[in-house]
Amino acid sequence: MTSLSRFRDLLTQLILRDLKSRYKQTFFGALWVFGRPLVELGVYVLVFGAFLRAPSDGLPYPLFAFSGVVLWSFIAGGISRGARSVQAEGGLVAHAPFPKATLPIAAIIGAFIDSLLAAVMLIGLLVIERVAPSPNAWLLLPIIAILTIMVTGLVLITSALNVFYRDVGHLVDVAMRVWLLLTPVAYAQSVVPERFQTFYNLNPLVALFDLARDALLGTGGGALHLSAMWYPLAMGLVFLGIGVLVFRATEPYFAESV
Amino acid sequence: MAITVSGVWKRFRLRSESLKEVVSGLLPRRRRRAASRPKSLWALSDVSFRVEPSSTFALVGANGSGKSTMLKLIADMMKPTLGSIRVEGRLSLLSFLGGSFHGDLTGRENVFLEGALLGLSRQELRAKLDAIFDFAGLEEFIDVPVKFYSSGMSLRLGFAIAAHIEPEVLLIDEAFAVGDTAFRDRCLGKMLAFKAAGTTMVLVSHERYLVEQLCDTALLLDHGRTIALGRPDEAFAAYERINEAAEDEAEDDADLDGEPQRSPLHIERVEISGGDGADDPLFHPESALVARVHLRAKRDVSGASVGIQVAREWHVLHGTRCNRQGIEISAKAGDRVTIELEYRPLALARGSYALHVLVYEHRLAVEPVLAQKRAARFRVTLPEAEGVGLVRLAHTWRLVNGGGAV
Repeated sequence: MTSLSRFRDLLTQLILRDLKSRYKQTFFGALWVFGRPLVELGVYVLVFGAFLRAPSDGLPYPLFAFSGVVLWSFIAGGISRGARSVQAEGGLVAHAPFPKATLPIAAIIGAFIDSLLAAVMLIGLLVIERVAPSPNAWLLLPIIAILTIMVTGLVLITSALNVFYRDVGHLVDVAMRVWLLLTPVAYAQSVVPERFQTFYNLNPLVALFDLARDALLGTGGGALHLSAMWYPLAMGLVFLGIGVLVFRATEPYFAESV
Repeated sequence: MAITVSGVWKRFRLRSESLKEVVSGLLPRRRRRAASRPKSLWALSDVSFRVEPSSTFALVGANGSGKSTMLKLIADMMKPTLGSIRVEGRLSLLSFLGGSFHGDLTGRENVFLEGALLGLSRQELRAKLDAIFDFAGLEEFIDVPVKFYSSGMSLRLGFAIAAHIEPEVLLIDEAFAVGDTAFRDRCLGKMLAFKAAGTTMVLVSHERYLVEQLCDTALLLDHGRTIALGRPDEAFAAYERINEAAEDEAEDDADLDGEPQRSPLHIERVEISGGDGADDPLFHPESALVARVHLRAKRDVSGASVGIQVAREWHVLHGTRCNRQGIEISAKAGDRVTIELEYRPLALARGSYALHVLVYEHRLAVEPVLAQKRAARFRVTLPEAEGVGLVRLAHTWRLVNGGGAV
């Protein structure tokens, strides 16, 4: 067996184990995959939609918010699960020889599968709201690819460092909360005052979320700013490069440090 | 499919650094305090050896001697600080069997991840699934969540998966040789089968009997240093010498058990005769050993009993007490009593032995009131090729018929 097919086999089994075990002993089982984003959506609709009357680029607010929630659930799920993935399997890491990169990658794919299920609900919402997806919807594919690159880079960095410094896990939790509020998930970018815009746009997710909504729902009125993809892509590749370097440099010390 | 280990050193950091320590290390006052604690430990110092293709190699030594570290270095789970390790062939490590099991999943579901970790592909596992559960004797439990398994059942399943791998190089950690007798027999049988199939094996074990039976070469490690490298019996002889040296250092009160002040008899001296040499005498298994115990009564005593045990490492091979042969000790305070026990023939296998001397208050007492562990020592030598095992039972071979013609 080649090392690549061993890697793939191991990855498949890790993902399957996570999927099977996660919902096995819970009363509502797989319903939780749908429940969580729905509850989040409900709160956003109430707080941002009804209380604060956040602008939503001319879309029905639930649709606006839910498209953001689905994308965000992949980022947040992937990073928070991924960051602890190596340390959480400490017993295995200390006692079994296997490529450790399978652990964070399995966590990311697990989060991706969850988000895919949430995306099915998004399609349901489109039908209910009688909104037709824009013909540019295929652009979601490169957008998701860029998101995946970014998430993978960040997860490789944090999962490796978390083996040596447990603070990293806590740091990630805090950072994800801040990042959520600084990303147009529940509100449109237009609420950000002019003088903060430059700072706000440093967040590579701003451009990606805008572009994703534009591609799916046509919020930009037909004029897609494809060049906006370069900045997030560059950031993603930087994260991925650092992540690969950090993970490869630290992997030989995992077994003695978990 | 050889393994070559050349000049390997391995250092461990002892302090796990949190970010707090990294930050406080930057402050000059804190730095001084932190520097006073040991920072690292050499788990292995300049270890070199070669495991020949299709041979079986043992790593022996006390806990913390660096055996498991060596195994993990060979498995490429850690990098040596200095030196190099070269492994040819597909490698599997047996340690922490069933470590990937998830309690909520069934036995069947768990087999796949554990198997993937050991290097079995999905197709191989699917084909061998029935054989694995059959080997483990768990056919009825195949669809039961593993959390309902007993620890022995989990272990059996873990081993059954491991038994179905086909590695070229197999590393086995001691932790796995647990379980009941039947299970251990099965493990040993499987290891012999691996050996017969030409698998190169490295084994970490404390079990002298297992190692002597299975291994061609043994390396004795002590605090990460090579003490002996050669035939397993030689390595174990060196191991026993280290243990005795360590015990001698910790001698005196440490070897006195029970309630010495309550004991009616004081053990003054224990001597062994019949062997060559005064201290640590050497015996032949055919010869006789006489142990003489000199006692002094601390108070008036009647019906007390003395026991003697022959021990090797922590195993008591034989124990007996004098009241079993009708001797009871009665004496006035201050009287001296001498009692003797003869083993004829000694009938022990080669090795180092110790005698424990025990005092019982009366012949029905279950627990000794005084126990002097390792009160005397002796060694047994044996001509080459005498046989294997812990004891040398008296035996005679006879050719009854046939096979004698040349």
